[in-house]
Formats: sequence, structure tokens, C-alpha cells
Amino acid sequence: MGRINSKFLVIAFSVLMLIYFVIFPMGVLLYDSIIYNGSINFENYRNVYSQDVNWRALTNTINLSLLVMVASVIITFPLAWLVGRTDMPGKKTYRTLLVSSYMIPPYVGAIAWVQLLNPSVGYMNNIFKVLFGLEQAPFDIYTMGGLAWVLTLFYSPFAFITISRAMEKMDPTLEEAARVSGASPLRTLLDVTLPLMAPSIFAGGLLVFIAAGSCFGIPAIVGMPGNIEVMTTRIVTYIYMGDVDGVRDATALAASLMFLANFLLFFMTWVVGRKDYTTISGKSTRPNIVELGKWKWPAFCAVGAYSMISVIIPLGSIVLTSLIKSMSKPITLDNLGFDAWIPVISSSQYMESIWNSVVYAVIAATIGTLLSLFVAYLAVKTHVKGRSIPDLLTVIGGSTPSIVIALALVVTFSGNFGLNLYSTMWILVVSYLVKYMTMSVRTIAASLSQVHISLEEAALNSGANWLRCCKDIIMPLIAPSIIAGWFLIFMPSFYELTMSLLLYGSDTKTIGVLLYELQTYADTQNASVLSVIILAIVLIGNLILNKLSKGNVGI
Amino acid sequence: MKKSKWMLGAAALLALSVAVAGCGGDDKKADSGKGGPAGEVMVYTSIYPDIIDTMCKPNVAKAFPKMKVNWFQGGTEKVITKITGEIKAKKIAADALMVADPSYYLKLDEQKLLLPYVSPEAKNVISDKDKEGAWTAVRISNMIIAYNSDKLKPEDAPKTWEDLTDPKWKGKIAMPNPMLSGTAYVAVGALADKYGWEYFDKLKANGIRVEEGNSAIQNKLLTGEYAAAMILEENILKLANTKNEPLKVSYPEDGVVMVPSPIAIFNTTKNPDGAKALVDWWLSKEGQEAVVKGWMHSVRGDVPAPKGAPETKKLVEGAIKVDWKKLADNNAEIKEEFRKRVME
Repeated sequence: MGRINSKFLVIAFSVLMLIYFVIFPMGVLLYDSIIYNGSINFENYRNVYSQDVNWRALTNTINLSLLVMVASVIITFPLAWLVGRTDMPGKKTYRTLLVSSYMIPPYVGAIAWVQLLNPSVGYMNNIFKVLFGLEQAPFDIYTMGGLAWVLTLFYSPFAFITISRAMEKMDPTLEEAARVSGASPLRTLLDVTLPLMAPSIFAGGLLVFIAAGSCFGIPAIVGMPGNIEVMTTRIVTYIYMGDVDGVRDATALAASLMFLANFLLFFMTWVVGRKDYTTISGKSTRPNIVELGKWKWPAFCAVGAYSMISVIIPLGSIVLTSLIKSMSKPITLDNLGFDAWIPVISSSQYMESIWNSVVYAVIAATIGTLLSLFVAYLAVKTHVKGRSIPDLLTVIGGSTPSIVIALALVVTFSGNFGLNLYSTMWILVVSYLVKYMTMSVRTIAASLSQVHISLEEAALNSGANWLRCCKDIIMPLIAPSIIAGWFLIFMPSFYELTMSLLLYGSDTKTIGVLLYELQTYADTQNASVLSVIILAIVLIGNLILNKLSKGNVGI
Repeated sequence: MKKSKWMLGAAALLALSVAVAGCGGDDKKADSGKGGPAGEVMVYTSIYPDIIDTMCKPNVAKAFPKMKVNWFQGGTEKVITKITGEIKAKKIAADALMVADPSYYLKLDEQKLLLPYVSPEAKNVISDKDKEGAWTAVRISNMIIAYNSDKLKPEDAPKTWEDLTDPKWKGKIAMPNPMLSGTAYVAVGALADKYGWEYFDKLKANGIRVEEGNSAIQNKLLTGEYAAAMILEENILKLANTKNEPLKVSYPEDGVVMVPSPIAIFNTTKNPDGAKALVDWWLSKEGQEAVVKGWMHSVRGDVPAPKGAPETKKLVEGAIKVDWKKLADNNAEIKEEFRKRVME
């Protein structure tokens, strides 16, 4: 009996935490959007959904998110396979490089891309014009294509992290069987590996879809000058009306994003749920490495070219921007220097903000990963009725634009419903959990669905209780995914901007807030400096973790 | 069994975090006795953070040694969103508010949320103020036309708002988005009143780009992506004077759009004396000098304009008339009209 109790106690506790901190605030806002003066009123829903522009924004969001999702999976699956399962040279460096774009705050990266590809003076456009003797700039960033391009580069690492981590833990016996039966490596990849990886591919794709659909910064910077409206820009427009009606309209509109993401998750679960994907059994754990043979170097070059375009060029442009003295002058040696670094480094708030952000992000990531593990276990490994509901609910937070979440938290946690977290660090931690928990739930659930139940049963039969089995069997088996899930919460929390800006208090200024100040009131150069510092911290932290854990921990 | 302890530990950590979080709360004491106001005052403001750090914090601390002033800084729209949430929760944490958009104060006053207070310093304010003292202008921002003087000679730069419709600027002009920026909203309302919505049709036909905000425009003026743009004067003055960037303001001959951003006290404040003292400070010469340091104009007649800017009085005389009541009442309609005409 004891083992059942500990299992369900822990899960029940996690679900309660999830409901109170993550679901309840969104529920309050949704409730308010339907109930008006004590009676049910759908006037605001009718209002927002009767406007053409909102439908156009919805269509744009769906098209864009689907496009970005599909493109991300198509690009990252082969990358994950090459990096994780082949003898391609330099794969360790590539792994770090490929997730690096995930460590740049998206709004900083978007500005970099605008500088590279704007039609009038974009650096890259100018280079192409000279190289090929063109009259007109070949690329215009202010288009749907440009927007999809930037979104894909920034959000495909979600898919990469999720897919590559799951791939490393997969049982190779099926692949070996295919190879022994005479299938080529490519055939094995397409017929065996790809279908077996379906849960992780869907999970990664869904993460990209959610992130692209609920992101405001990139569409505002890249889409707005081209008159491209998406759901988030519309929602923010309503919120900025600055009154109660605006909030109700915004929530009514945000509801469709929640609905969309949940529908997609439901659909994917249904597709995945019809088959058995357990590939991690007790028999063999070390996946074999595929020898690429004569394809070794072409693969190296292809991945190198992709890294160059997706990571090195935009990163280089950010580093360069941080070193430019004047944005109005051409890039020459005279115009380079550390001028922009001095105000950032000498700012008194800078170290404090970095420290705050590290602490809040670590707390959010740790609590979030633990909750995710139990919620994912409940959804994937038990037979309780309604087991997947908590899992579905985390998607609501993930698919809601940050500003709506922040508003919901202001309303909910300023003391009217029990806790008063307002102006404390905890409201920031809670906001990160609401927004990013779905990232780790998806990743962990996908991996858990690949663990065979027999392992757990064996442990339980040998007398271990459930918590011990969790710690000694389940967690080590999906360790890469747990680490990936942790990072998927940690990174965006670390430089989060919108929610932090609304929720920070006088002692809880974060790096995102500082970045926003630099960007708005100082210069793009200063903001680039801070991004370079963020990237350096994360890369060094990752390196240390990697060394200390002998390569077991890290992204 | 022993090894499972840490899992329970983790659960305990979660529980503990809830408990600790529950202790958060704030107490404000309002005991004003001799020696000036005391207690705490919370100000929500969109004024620039470097000004708060270098001018406001030290000077206010010196002026009111017994009072603790907390500053929450953010863009106007973000601050308004936070207030909206607090109004909804019926827990307004701010005592004083100073954001850019004056029409927002009319809305707050309509909801009976502001504390009337006529500061003794108000007699020196030559800009807008509410008769009952619900709000008083504390700084002036101007929407102007700016250009890059490396790429454009002063005589070629646009001289009036109507010049922006000249085909020679086709595809090279920009403005901030009125849905996302309060000052841009004021400019759109004022220009639509003066020249009719057709003015924006012409801008649209001339390929104007709508950007998220002033900082995006400022950068693109620098890189030369835009030749001229509608933007706030303070952004340009700051860059031109502190960083020697080749940006210049062209003060439109048909009038700048003047945005007198107010300060007001919420009537929910627990420390009215402290909040009033702070309003007095802002309207005093010392407070106004902080405003000018932030490259905005003072609302007082006796404080000089920021470096490189014309006299405030002269700008006031020529400024475009703004119907604040209309901007407050027709917010959604004006924004939608603009969006339909320019952003589709």
C-alpha cells in the first residue's frame, strides 16, 4: 500500500501546485472574459471575432506557426541524427553551436536580422548586390517569408534539443535488425528511426508551434513594418487600450491561441497514442553509431553551412554591433571600440540583475522540471481517468502571450485569492513556470512514453518504493530529456523580458528588464553588449557543467 | 527507502517555496510629523531610468530624508497594463503615476481614481493642468520630424508634416505605431484632426513604415534605412548631443505635436502627504531640471529648454491643438481608423 500512497501523494501534490499557480490565474482571466456584471456575456467574443483583421491575424498566425513548425522539424531531424547518432566530425562543437541561437534573446536576434536583410541598407543584401551585380536587394525581411525565416532560426532549437536528446537514449536493436537484414543506413533512418522517434518529433514540433504562435517580439520587429498582423500584435493592441474592456477583448482573442495549441496537442497525442513507441527497454542502452563513410565530409560541410547561416552570421552581427562606436558610420576599424561596453559593465545594477536572473531561472527550472516529471508520468504512465488533463492545461500557459499572463498574475496574486506574491521574486518565478513549463512537460512526456513499463515493474517487484524507482530507474533512463527540459525552462526564463517588466519590484530587477532599458533608452549597441555577456555566461556555465559531469550534463 | 528521501525533499522544497512566498506583502506607514513627509511612496513612471538613477533618487532622498521613495520604471504602455491589472484586483500599489499619455489621466479621473491636489508649485506651470488638480503636466515631449544629417542637407529635409507626403520620400519614411505607443497615438489623433484622415492615406501611398516604437526608428535613421521619420524630440536630442550622432530635428512649421505628460496621485494612496510632497518636488525647479536632463521640456516658464532645442514658449505657441477629451473617449475608434488606413 505504501508505494501507491507515495506515488499518488507526490503526483497529487504536483497537480495541485500546477492548478493553483499555473492554471488558476489563466482561469480567472478567462472567467472574467465570459462573465460580465454577473451574467454570461459573449459580446467581447462576438466583437473581436467579427472583425476581419482579427481573422486575418489568426490565419497569419496559423500559417506562420505551421510553416515554422514543419520547417524546424525538417531541418532539425537530420541535424539531430547527424549530431547524435553518426560519426560526423566535429559533432560536439556543432551541438553547442546549433543550440546557441536559443541562447540569444529573440528580440536582439530579430534586430540583428533586420540589420542584415532589410531591403534598403541590409548588410547581406548589399553584399549580394555587389557580388551578383544586382539592381535591387534580393531579400526583403519585412515579409511573411522573412518573418518565418527569423522565427524558424530562433525556435528550431526547441525541436533540436527535444529530438536529439531522445535519439541518444533510443534502443538500437531495431535499427541493427534492419541493418542486418540488408537495409542501407538511409533506409534504416527513414523506415525505423524516424517512425520510432515520432513522439519526440511531435513534441519538438509542438514546442516550436507554441513558441512561434505566442511570440510578440519578433513579429513586432520584423512583421510590423511590413504590415503583417499576427494574433499577438492584435492581443497587445487590445491590452494597451488600458481599460477593462480592452483586457476582456484581449482575453477573448487569446482564447483562440490556447484552443489552437490544445487542439494540436490533442491531435498529436491521438496520432502518437495509437502505436507503441517503447524503445527504451532493459536490454541494451547504448545506441550504435552509424558510420557515414564517404558521406562523412559532405555532412560536415552541410551542417557547417547551416550553422554559419543560422548561428554564426547573426551572432557575429550582434558581437560586431556591440563593438561599433556609431551606428551611423560604416564599419571600419576607426569605428570599432569598447565604448558601448563601458556603461553596461560599469552599471551598478548589472551584476545584481544577472545574479537575480540566474537565481530566479534556476528556481523556476528546478521546480518546473520536477512538476513536469510527475505531470508527464501521470499522463503517460498511469491509467487514471483524466490523466492527460494537467498535461493539456500546461499548454494553455505556454500558448498565451506573455503580457496576458503577466496581467493575469497581477490580478490573481495580489492577495485577493489567498497568496500575495506581488512585487516579490516569487511572482516572477511563477510567471516563468506558467509560460515555459509546457516546454519541459512535452520533452519529458515524449521520452517517458519510450520507457518500457517492465523496468519500473521490475524495480517495484524487487521491493523498491515508487519514489526510489523514480530516482533510480526512470530518471536516469530519461536523464538527457530531464536536463533538456530543465534548460528549456532555464534559458527563456533567464532573459525573459515582457513579464519581468510588468512584475519586477524594486529589489527584483532582472536582466531582461535591464536589457529592455538599454534597448529603449540607451542604444542598440548596449543591448548587444548585454546579449554577448548573456551568451558568454550560458556557454561558460554549460562548459563547466559538462566538465564536472564528464559530459553527462549540458545542452 | 532511505534514498527516496531526496525526492520527498524536493517535494518539501516545493511546499516551502509556497510558504515563503506567502510571507510577501507590503506595509506602508504614513506618519508624517515634523521634519517633512515620512513613510513610503511608490511611483510608477515611464521617465528614463538613467534620469531616475542620477537625478531623482539622490535629490529626492536629500529633499525628504525621512521618506522612502520606490521607483517602478517601465514604458508607458507597460505601466498602464500593470495599473489595469491592479485596478482589476482593487489593489493599486502606486501612490503617484507619471506616464506619457495625457488622455489616460482623463480616463482615470472619469473612474474617480485620482486624488485632487493643487500643488503650490502649480502656479508656475505654463502647460496643461486640471482645474481641480486631478493631474498636472510635469514634462513635455514633442513629436517632431527627424532626419539623418549625413544623408540629407537641412534645406532638403521635410519642413512640414505635409512634406512627408512628397513622393521623393517614397518608401523612406517611418512612424511609431499608435497602437503600441501613447505619444504616437496622440500624434495620430492631432494630425488627423488638423489634416483629416486623408493625410494618412497619402502617407500610406507614400510607403510609410509603421514601427513598434521610437527606439526602432531612431536606429534605422542612424543606419540610413529611413531618410526622415516621425519620432520624439528627446530621442534625437539625446543621441545628437551625447553621442555626436548625425541626427537632426526638423521642427515642423505647421506645429509640433506637444504631449504634456502629467503626474497624478491615486486616491487609494495610504501616504497622501508623501505623494503630495513628491508632486511638489517634480514641479519645483530641481525636479524640472531632471526633466530637462532627460532631453524633455520643462512645464515651467523659468526653466530653460534642453540643449539644442528651441524655447519651450515658442513651441507652445505653434503647437498643433490636441483634443484630449476626444483622444480619451474615442481611443478604440481612432486606433482602428488608423490601422485600416495605414496598416492594411
